[in-house]
Amino acid sequence: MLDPFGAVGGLVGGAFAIFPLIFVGVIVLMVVLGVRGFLGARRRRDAIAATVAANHLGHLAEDPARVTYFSSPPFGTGRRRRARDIVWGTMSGRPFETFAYSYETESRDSEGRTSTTTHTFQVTWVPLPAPLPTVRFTGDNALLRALGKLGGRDLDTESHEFNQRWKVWSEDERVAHAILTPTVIDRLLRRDIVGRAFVVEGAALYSYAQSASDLAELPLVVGALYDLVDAIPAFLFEGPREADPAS
Amino acid sequence: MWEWVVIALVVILVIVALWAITAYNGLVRLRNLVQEAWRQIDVELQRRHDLIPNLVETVKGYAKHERETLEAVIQARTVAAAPGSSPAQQAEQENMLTQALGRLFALAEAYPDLKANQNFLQLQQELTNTEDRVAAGRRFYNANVRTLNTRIETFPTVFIANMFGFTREEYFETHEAARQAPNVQF
Repeated sequence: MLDPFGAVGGLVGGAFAIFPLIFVGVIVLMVVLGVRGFLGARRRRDAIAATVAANHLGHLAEDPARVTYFSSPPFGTGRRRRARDIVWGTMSGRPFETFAYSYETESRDSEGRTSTTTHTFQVTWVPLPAPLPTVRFTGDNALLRALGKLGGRDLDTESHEFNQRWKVWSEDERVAHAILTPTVIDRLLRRDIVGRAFVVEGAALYSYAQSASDLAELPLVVGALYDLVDAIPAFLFEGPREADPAS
Repeated sequence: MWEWVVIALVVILVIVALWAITAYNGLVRLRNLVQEAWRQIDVELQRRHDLIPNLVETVKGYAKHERETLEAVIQARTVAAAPGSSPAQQAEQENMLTQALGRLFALAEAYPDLKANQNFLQLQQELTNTEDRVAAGRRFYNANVRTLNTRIETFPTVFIANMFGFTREEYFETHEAARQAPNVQF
């Protein structure tokens, strides 16, 4: 004779039996992710150490002062801001600095549970000959674009392709248009810098991309930064003409 | 009942009036921005034109026999510096002047003493700097012209533009080329 209650009881018992398995599975997954993260971080540290040694660069494990170097995104937001693996030196005789920058944000779900997210970026910057008003170039990455949208209004150029791929926000539109020479536009349209954002702030030009880098792409990033610096018209660093009646 | 209709009409009229004022002020602000941007270009073009006689005199000291090229530069400069041109006409004249100057600098390649002359190098540098300023001013001016023209031609600001006589502004189109950048390595 069939015993439906017995079958249900067996099912319930089976369902309860699966909980320890799920628990063990979660623990195993966390351990695997933890080990993977640890190994990834070690690989990254080793790669940075190799780059530093091979190119006679400077290295600092962490510096709290770096988190206040800039105020445009991704800086100035979130809590527990950290600047780690600071590497500096010269490339083709020109100075640069790069570091992994991270901050945390908290979000609350509908049931009131809070979760913490760590946002990590690799920031690389080079000096400019003189300070300029802030101009932000945000590419086709949704998060970077959202960060870039904080303040200012988008600027349209004569290049349709550029307008499609980049959003530009500036404190001073006159300066932004002056910076956007055909050479700068051409450089920003090249595919090798997809997923990056560029910011002119004070006497620095910096680029940032999501996740900490092992510096394998450092020559490309520094090269792109200096391509842009060299393409910015020199007169912008000279300021207005003394005898210029319109300035 | 009629009171409510009157109140509703007054509210609609106030909203329309506020929108019209905002749209009108926006168009005036843009038109002023365009005019100010053009004045800035004009100052830089004047500066460019002022540099050319000195440049021609310097080149003449080394390349007297290149009369045709030098006269072409002077002629193009005279036309470009004449007042009363619209932005489109001015752009055409500046392009002619740029071509004439290009021939002058190409000619300088054949005269090593001229190429090494400090005055010539300084004038060349100053001319490049001024042309960069003109190009930057042109991009800012054209961006504002584009915004103004779009507002003038699009609904609903087209009504305000027609009512108060706002007209399309001309673009200032000159030739501008990209420059090559070197590679960077450790």
